[in-house]
Amino acid sequence: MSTIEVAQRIAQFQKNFHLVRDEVARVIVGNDDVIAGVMTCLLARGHVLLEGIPGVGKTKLVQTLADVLHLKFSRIQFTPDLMPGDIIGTSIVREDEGGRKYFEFQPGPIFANMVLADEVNRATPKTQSSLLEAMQENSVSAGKTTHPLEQPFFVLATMNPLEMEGTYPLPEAQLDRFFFKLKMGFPGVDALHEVLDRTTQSRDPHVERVLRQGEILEMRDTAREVPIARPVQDYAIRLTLATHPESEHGHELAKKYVRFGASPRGTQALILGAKVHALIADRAHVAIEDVKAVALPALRHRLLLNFEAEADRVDADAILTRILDQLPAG
Amino acid sequence: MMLCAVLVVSVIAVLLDARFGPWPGLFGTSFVVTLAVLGLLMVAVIALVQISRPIPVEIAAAVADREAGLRDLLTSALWLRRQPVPSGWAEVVEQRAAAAVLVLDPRRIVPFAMPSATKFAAGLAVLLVAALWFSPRLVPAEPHAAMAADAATAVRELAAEAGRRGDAEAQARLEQIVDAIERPGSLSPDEQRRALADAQAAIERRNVEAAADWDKVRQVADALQGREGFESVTAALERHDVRAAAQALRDIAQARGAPSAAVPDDGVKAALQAAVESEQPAGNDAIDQFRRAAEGLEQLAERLDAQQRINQGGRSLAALAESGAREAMSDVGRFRPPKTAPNPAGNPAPDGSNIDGTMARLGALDEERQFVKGVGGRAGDTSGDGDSEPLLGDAAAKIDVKYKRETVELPGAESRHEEADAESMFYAASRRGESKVMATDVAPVFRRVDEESPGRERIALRHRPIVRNYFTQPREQGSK
Repeated sequence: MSTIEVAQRIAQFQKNFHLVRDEVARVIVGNDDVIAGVMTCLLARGHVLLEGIPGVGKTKLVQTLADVLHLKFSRIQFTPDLMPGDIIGTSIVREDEGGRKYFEFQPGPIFANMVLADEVNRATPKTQSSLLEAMQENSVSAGKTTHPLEQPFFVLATMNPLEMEGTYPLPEAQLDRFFFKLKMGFPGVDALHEVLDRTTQSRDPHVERVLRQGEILEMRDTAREVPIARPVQDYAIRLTLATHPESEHGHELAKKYVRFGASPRGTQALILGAKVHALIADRAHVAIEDVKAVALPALRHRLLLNFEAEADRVDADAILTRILDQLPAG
Repeated sequence: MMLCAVLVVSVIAVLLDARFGPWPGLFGTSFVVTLAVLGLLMVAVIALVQISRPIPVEIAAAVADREAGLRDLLTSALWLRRQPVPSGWAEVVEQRAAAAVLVLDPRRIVPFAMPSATKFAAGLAVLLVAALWFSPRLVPAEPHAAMAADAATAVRELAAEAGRRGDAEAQARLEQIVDAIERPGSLSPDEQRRALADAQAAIERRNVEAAADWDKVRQVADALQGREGFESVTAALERHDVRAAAQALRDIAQARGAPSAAVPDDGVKAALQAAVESEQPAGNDAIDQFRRAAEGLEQLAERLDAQQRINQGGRSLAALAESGAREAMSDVGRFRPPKTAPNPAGNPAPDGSNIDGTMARLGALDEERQFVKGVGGRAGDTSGDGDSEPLLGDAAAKIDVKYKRETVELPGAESRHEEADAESMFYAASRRGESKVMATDVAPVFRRVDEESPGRERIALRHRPIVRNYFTQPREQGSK
C-alpha cells in the first residue's frame, strides 16, 4: 500500500466518522464522547455496554446509530422470563410439498448487524450466556448447526445502575466480552433544553443513512492497520499491569482496592481503541495519548474491586484516573 | 539543586569559620571563599559534563515529542523505521515526522531556562562569595601552623637567653609555654591564653632591654658625630647597621696601626666606652679599645638581630592570642556545661560551724566560685565581681585573697561588730543566700573592664604592646 493510499484511507476514515457522528448528533444531544465511544467499539469490532439511568437516551442512541449506518437492527428487551431461544432462534417443524416434516431454524433477533440488548442484567444468567458465544465467536449454535452472524455484528447492551432488585448482575467473564463500558450521564441545562426542543414538537428529527455496510467493514480494516510503536504498546501493557495487585508493576491503589486486574482482553481493547482514536485524530500512528483516551471505557468494567473499595466508596474510575496520572510515559 | 548544595556547604563553612576562627584558604583568601569558589567550579564542571554527554536518539525523540507536543510521532517513526518490513503506514509516519522535525525549534523544545529557585540560590552564592571576598581580613592569611612555629621559635630563643642568664625558673616557664604553643590541646583554653599572655609579657620585657641597647647605639653615634675619621662608623649607625659600624671600627683600628696615631680624644673614648658591654674600662691601649668597642657593637648587633627575630615571632604570638581571644568571645553568653570540681579538702562545708558569731565561709565561697565559673557567671558571686572568664593570672589565687573572711549579722542576734556600719559593708545576695562582707576585706580584683579601659595615657592595656613596639623598633619602622 502506497503512502497516497494510506493517506486517502485515513482521510476517508475521518470523513465517514464525522459524517456518522454529526448525523447521530442531530438526534442525540450532548454525549459526544459516548457517541465516539460507540463508534470506536463498532469500528474496533467490539461490543459496548451502556450504563445510565432511565431516560437519558441509551436506546435512542442505538436506534439512531442503526438508522444512520444502514444496518439491520434488532432490539431485545431482556426480562427474567426471556429464554435463550428467544434470542438465537429456534428450530421449528416444517412440512415440504411431499408432506415430509423437517426442522427449520428460525433465526432469532440476534441475527442482525446491530443488536440492542436492553437492560441486559434483567435476564437470567442462562439467557445472558446465550449472548456470549455470539459476542465472542460471531456465530450461533443451534442444535447441531453453527450459524455465522453477518458482519458487522455489534451488540449494544444497556444496564440500569439504580434498580438492582430482581436483576442478575453480569458475571466478570461476560463483562470482559464487552469492548467498552460507557456511562451516559444526565444532560445539563442547555442539553436538556435542546432535548425538549427536539422531542416535544410536532416533527421529530430525521436522520439520513450516511454509511453503507461495506464502508463500515472497510473502516474496520483501516483501523486494524494503524501501526503502533513498541514504546506505546509498552505503555499499554504497563497500564494493564498497574491494575494488578499481585504484579510488581501494580499501583499502590490497585494493591489496596483491586481484587483482580484487567485481563489481556483489556489490553487488546486499549490498543484497538487507541488505533481508532488515532485515526479520528488524523494520526497514522498510535500515541500514548490515544491509549490514555480509551483507558477508562476499556478498563473500568474489567477491574474487580475488593471489599475495602466498596467500603471506602472507591470506584474503578478513580483508581484508573490515579494510575493514568502517575504512570510514567517512558 | 547543585547550587543549593553549594550554598548549604558555604553556610556551614561560614558557621565553622565563626566557631573556630578563620582558616587560611587558597591564593591568600579565606577558607570560606576557597570553598565557595571550588563549589562553583564543581557545579560548572558537572554542568559541562552533563551538557557534553551524548544523548541516545530514542531519548531525544521522546523529549522532542513531549516538549513539542508531537504525540509520539518521532518515537513511532524511529521505531517503525527500524522494522524489517516497511509499509505504507510506516512511510506516512516517517514523512509526517520529517515534516515535523523541519519546523522544530530546538531552543523552544529544550529552552535554557534556569528555575527561579536556582536563580535565587546562585544569586545568594554570588553575594556570599562577594561579601567574603571584600570583607576585612581580621588575621593575616598565613597558616596557623606557621604562626605557631614562629611564636615557638621566639619563645624558645627567650628561654635560651634565660638559661644563659641562669634564670632557671623563667627558662622552665618559657619552655612550658613553647610546649603549650606547639601542642595547643595539651592545656585548657584558659591556661593556653595565660601561657600566651606570659609569652607576650616576656617579649615585652625583652623589648625594653632592646630599647636600652638602642640607647647605647645612639650614645655611640652621638659621641662620634662630627669626629674626623669616624664618618663610616656614624653613617653605619645612622643606618641602624650596628654590625657594619663594628666592622668600620675594626677597619679604623687596623688602618691606624701605630699606637701613637691611634690615641683617641675624649669624645672617641666615651664612644668606645659606651660601646663596650662590660663595666670595666676598655684599657689604655687604643687598639685594644677599638677592638673591644667593635666586639661590644657586634654583641649589640647580635642582640638586636635576635630581638628582631623575637619580635617577628611576637607578632605571630599576638595573632595566636587574638585568635584565642576571639574564640573566647564567641563563647560569651553561651551556657557552657558546668564543670564540676571537687571541693578542696581543706575548705569547710558551706554550713560550717558558727564560731563566736562569725561564720567561716571560705568553703562556701570557694564552692560558689566554682559554680559561677561553671555556669558562665549567670548567678554572680557574693561581691558581684564574677570572673567566669578570667583572661590573665590565676583567678583562683585572687579569689582566695579576695575573700578572706566575712562577718554575717545573724538575724535576731546581737552583733559583736558594732563598728561595722552600713558604709563599711558589702552586701550581696546570691543563690546561696545573703551575705555581708567587710569593705576592707574585699581586695580589688583584676577585671576585664580594666584591661579594656584606657589609663591616664589614654592607651588601652591590650594596645600597649603595639605602641611600645612602635617606639622600640626604629629599624623596622624606618624600613617600611
